[in-house]
Amino acid sequence: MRVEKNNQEKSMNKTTKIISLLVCIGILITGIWLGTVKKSNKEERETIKIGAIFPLTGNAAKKGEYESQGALMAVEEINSQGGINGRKIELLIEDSGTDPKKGISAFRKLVEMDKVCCLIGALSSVGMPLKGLIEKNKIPTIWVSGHPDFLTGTKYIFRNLPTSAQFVEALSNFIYYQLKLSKIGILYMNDDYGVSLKNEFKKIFPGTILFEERYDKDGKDFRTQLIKIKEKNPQVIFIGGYGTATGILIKQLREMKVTAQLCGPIGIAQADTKKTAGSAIKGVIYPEFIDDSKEEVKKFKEKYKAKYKQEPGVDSFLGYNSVKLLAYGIEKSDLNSELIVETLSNLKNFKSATGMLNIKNKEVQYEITIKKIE
Amino acid sequence: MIALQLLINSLIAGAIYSLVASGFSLIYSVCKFVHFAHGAAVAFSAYFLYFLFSKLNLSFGFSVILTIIFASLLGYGMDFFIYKQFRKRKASSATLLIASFALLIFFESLILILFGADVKTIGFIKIAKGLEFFGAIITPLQLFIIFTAFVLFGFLFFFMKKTKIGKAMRAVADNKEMAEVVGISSERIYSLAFVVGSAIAGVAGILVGLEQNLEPMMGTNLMIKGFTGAIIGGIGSVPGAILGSFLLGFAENFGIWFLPSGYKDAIAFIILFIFLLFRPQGILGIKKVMNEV
Repeated sequence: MRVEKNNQEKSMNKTTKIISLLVCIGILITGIWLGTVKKSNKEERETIKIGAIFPLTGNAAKKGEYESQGALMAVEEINSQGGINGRKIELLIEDSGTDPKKGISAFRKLVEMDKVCCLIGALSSVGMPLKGLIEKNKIPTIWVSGHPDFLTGTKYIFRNLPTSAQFVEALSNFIYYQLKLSKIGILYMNDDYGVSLKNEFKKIFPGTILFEERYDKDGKDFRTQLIKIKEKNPQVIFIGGYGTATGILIKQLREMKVTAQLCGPIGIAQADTKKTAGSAIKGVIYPEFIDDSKEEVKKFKEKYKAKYKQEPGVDSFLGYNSVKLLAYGIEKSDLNSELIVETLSNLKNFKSATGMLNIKNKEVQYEITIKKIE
Repeated sequence: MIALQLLINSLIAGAIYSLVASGFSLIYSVCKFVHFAHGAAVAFSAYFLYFLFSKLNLSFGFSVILTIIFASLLGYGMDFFIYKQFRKRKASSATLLIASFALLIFFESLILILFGADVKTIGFIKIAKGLEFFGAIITPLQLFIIFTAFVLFGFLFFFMKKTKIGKAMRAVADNKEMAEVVGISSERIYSLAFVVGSAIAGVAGILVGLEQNLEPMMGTNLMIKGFTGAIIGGIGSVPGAILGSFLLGFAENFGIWFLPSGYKDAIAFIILFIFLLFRPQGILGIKKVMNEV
């Protein structure tokens, strides 16, 4: 028994020795390999790395898909034209899955491991908790976010999405100065979005506001409410809402022979609103920042369809523009964060997939056109 | 002019509520339990019409007839496969109530799976500018809804008062044991109540579908209003339920003329509370109480 045990101990000692030897050799080889890789990395340092945080899974996955397809298209275009000052761009896309926590780990990976110079991304919920990190690391960032407080207290972040205030302003100007109509009534949906639209419209419209009436988000019968507003005889009615209830509201307005010009936010042109309103939706005007009649937009759509076999969404345009804007900033400022921010902050008449862009107060200003539903 | 318009709006709302409430109340009066899945029958009928008319492109008249038959079968099926099995096990009406909730959720989910969550429209009647009567406006479809409701209630009244089956139903509703003593099979009458009540639900589904578009959860919303109408009018009495529904329509529409329109549902439920507290038997419940005394 004793002898056996000794033997066992001996053999164990032997294996331990062999293992430690192997580990040593392993470490040595890895070290040498890493050294060479680093060297070759140095040779490839020519590429400029841009990080992207998009929701590729979860309930906003389609948005993320559009964003990344648009962004990749921009990268391909820039690289095929020789890149930025002779250096190619590399887009590193990370999935946030609409989860702020995953967004933070994506940020850490992109900034600390991959050492990206700039960042693009989408969703306010993911972007809000990243604000501090972006500022601390001084990463010029272009984000697709509608949150009103997204830009407060930041220096390196730009917003790449027209806010509802911009839309409302365009609409209000069109009604007051182009159509020369000044007596308006407001019908707004009783949710967060509807209330904020109403407040913005009230703040900006120069004419007289005859009434402000809430309507129920799940309502189906607005007739009695509509008699009240018909009495006041408005020239224009601003409908701050979207979805099926808004469709029914428009239908019943026309059934009740309310002849006022109807207008609303971009959501009023949604498929479900159109469907429920039927032919009553005809003639409703709304603001839009992707104008199909523009050459650039037509071209983008064609190219996108040929590449991805699907129609581009709004987010495809935004993703594309984000990369293009950053590329311009990098080109003019040669990877210096402060300079990139400065260049972009004063950007004027930048040619993009949606037409001319300006940047004012760190917000990308889109040309907003007023469209009529036919 | 405004008063007339309010009157018309109230009639439209009342007609829709009463179409739901009458079938529901008929089933309640005979079977003595709250059949919430009645709302599912209304919703499913609307979707069935959508399927036949908009998907299979059958003629509208034929689709309507098939839909009403389908609604009856659906009601019969619910009674046969679910409620009857519970009754066999001597389940209380509370159990049946819970089962009816389960059925409502089941059918709404089924609609969601089969047709999806987006809104559907039955494109039979294109949008029409309203007709004017002395300054008040009503669309032809709405006129048709009110008209159909009244004709249907006329038939229902005749059916309950004059036909043998109707009399048997009232007998069971009044006193089940006594009815069985004179040879009326209560189980058969229960099934019949479901067939007739659900056929009315089918008609309601068709008209509501035409007027308000289709949504998977439409049944619940309609049921809440129909139920409120039935309680106000006296839940065991079909004429009461109809009366109560119209009263509800009037109260809501005249109420929001004076109050902001957000109070519409509040008005409905305040009336419901008032009735439950001070007159739980409803408007037309009086006769029955007197009989019992």
